[in-house]
Amino acid sequence: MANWIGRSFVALALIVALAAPAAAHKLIVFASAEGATIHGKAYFLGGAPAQGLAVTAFDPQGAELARTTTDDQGEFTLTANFRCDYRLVVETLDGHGAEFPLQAEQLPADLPPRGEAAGPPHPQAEPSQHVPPVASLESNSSQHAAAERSAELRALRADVAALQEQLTQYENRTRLRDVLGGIGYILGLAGIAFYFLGVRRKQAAEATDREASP
Amino acid sequence: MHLEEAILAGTQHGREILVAGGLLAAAGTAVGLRKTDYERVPQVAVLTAAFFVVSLIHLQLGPAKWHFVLTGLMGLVLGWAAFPAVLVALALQAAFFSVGGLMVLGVNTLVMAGPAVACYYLFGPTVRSRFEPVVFGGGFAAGAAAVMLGALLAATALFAAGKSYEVFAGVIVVAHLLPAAIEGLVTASVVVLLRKVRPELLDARPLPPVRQETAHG
Repeated sequence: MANWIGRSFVALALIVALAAPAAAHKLIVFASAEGATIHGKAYFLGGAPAQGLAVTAFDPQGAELARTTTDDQGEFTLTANFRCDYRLVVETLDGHGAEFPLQAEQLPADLPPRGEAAGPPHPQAEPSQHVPPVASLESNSSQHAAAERSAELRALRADVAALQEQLTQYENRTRLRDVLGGIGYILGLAGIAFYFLGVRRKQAAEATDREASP
Repeated sequence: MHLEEAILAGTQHGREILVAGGLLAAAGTAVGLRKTDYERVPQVAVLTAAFFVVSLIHLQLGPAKWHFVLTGLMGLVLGWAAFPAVLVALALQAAFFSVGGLMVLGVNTLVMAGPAVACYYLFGPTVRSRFEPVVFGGGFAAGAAAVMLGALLAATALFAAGKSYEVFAGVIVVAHLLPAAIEGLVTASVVVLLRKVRPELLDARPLPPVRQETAHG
């Protein structure tokens, strides 16, 4: 028995070693706004695009704002009608899902706010929101320079978006130490079970001894 | 087969399902723990670890991605103890890899451990047969049925939570037929092997070898 268990754990360790680079088939959604248009992409870890899935946009109160589906590349486009925090939810048919929060600061200021939804700006803004809105740059600089800057800004935003995407991918990778940690927990729980069952067993043995002795 | 938290927590019916699933899974776990005695703890632990690890290895099957669940095997070896085993493995997966979620843990446990226990009663006698083809058949049926029943339960939960019927049919029939067949083959091979080398795991006698081994020292 003990031999069998030992061998099983060795086999498990081997499997773990081989499986380390494998990733969970998690769905990832990523979106950014350009003007009032929200561009987004849904893909599975590993990069396979999530095709033909329903994308729903919700406001902070949970009311539905817009709805679309992803195309063959897993990409989707929505038009923002309000300046509020958007919550983009993508669902697969078998119950996997993912969501992406899009802060109101990314949307143009001339959109109407939605009730109290717009609220105060978020103190911990993502890097892309530190960039001032394109519109505010037009004052006291020539038309040409403004256009150049806005092009630069757009490129910068695209870079940040790509970086953010990579970061998500990195964070979601299945890591060997997590797998080993999980197996460690299972071993520990087995040990606890042994302890309690062992105590029970000892008590039962003592009880039968006491009955037998007089 | 994992259901995600956001999808069930979104609707009123979905939340009811979360609560009901949690209660049923707790009941199943209580029964499972009661039936787990000293000698069975290592088996439960090893199969929990196997389930935990194997769920992380994803295989590409044509358009779909699939990972083994081994719930049929768990059911045959562990019986009701499959409940605590699945619960622990899923809790760890939720904690480490944010697969599923803590709120949906009960429903997911039920979706995977329920079919395991069903297989224990349905195919347990079959895999204790004296004939190898019958054992193989029983193992295949258990592995495949566990996957299909799990998909059925998951789809029922989604359907009851207000998802469309196409989801229901698509999830069950299309997405899980091939994985179920593969799972069945693997379970059948493992069960036949166990019957030959460790029959006590299945509470059975050793399977008689097909041809006599030549005796030597």
